[in-house]
Amino acid sequence: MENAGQGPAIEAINLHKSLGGRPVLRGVDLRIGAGRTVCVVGCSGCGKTTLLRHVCGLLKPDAGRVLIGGRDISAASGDELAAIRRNIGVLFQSAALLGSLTVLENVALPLIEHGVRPLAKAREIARECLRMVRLEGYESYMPSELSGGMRKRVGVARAIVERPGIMLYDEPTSGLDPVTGATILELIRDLRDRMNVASLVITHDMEAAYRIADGIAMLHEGRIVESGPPDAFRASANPVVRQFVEGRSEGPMSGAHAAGARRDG
Amino acid sequence: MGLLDDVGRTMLDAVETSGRGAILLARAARHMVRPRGTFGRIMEQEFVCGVCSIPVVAITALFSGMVISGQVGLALRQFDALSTVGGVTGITMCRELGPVLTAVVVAGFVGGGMASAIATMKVNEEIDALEVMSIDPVRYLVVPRLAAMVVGVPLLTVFADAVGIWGGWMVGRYTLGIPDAEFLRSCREMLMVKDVWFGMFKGLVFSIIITMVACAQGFAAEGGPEGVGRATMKSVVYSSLLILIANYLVFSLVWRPFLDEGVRM
Repeated sequence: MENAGQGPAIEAINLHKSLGGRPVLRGVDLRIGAGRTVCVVGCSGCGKTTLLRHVCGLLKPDAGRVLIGGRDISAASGDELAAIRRNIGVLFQSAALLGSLTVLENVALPLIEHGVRPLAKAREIARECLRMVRLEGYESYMPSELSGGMRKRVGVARAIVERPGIMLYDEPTSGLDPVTGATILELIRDLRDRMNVASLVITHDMEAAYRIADGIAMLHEGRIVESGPPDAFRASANPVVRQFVEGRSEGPMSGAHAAGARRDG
Repeated sequence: MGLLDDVGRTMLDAVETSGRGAILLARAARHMVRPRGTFGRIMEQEFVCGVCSIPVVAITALFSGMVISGQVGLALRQFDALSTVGGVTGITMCRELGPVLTAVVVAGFVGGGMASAIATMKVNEEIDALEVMSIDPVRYLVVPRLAAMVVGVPLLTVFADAVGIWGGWMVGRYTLGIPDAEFLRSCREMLMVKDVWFGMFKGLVFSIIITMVACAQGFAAEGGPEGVGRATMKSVVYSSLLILIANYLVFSLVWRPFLDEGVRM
């Protein structure tokens, strides 16, 4: 799932991970090229979030590796890890804004902590990012004063403030009404077009995946069982994909889904 | 056996917390040498741990000084030694009650707040967000708190000493009928500079224990609001336990071998 002639921005190679003695990832392979958006879909507990946490270096694999722009984030630590991460923006499921800081302080935080001076310059860049997510005028609000959708938009603004080449989104539309969800999806598409970022979107919302993805990959029982462009994915004859796309309770995933639901991965 | 099991488990947990606290302290110490860009956050924490604790420390020290003076006075009256009440109260406050009570109050009031704040950030993915923004959570969260506490707690200890002696003087004057000049002369003769410095040194040791235990518990929190509550409770209990244990260790390793003789105040 990458453009011809370009190396992948994100590459997961034979990724294995067990959590609490339960194998969650059992050999995941995934490649995402620059400027491409790939949605990883799958049932709750199938390991989607675990995959995302490996890509941003929050988890280390038991086996396999993750390359970000050709650099192995799974083996990196200290300054090298910090340098790789500065090219990655993450929108967490809960947005993960710092509750003690205002919206503007949240967005400007990475710049200020990484030494952008004068502070007025960092704040101006942060304001520009807030304008990009259409949140001008909310600079002095606290995160607790915002709706779920607005918090996610602030999370996106904070993620893009250092102009990363890679964006990771964990369930960007979960907990949002359809209109607000659509706004977030538009934002994801808009960022890809304006900033040419490679995006990995974790979701179980098939409509969202069809709307924004250049490629869709399905994670099931710790492996990518199907991947391809949205149209090909929609037409897949794979019974696991068919059951997931059609939202049926009966099928090959029934047992796995019940097991996975015990622990969200 | 159930009770023994519980005691054993608590001790093991306290030892594990101490270990995690020591690792955090080692990481924080590296940043303490050059606390770049943390002055504002240190002042913020100084306000929380120092200024906000003043009323509760004052009340605790006042009534402790009063009861010590009263009890010592009643006991010494039988030996016609009321003239030494001022000195005994001063020594008790400066060497023991001032530092220990201040530390226990701060462990509950500030340490508990610290643990719950960091634990909330942990369960809300805010600490993960800091990591993926290449902001070291130890530098961002622990260093300002540690810097504020190592300055604030020794100063609060001196303040508690003074308030406690004042409370003792009031009881001496109005309840025991000790003349002011006699109370002050006794203090001057028996209390030494090293008593005050020793109390401040203990305050410094206790401040490190409180901060490290609170931060270690906060970082280890798991599982939503329940995890936050558990981290807060453990932080207060283990800090208090370790303060009392450290108090004896400091007495036997520092006071007895090195400070048994000193300069008169």
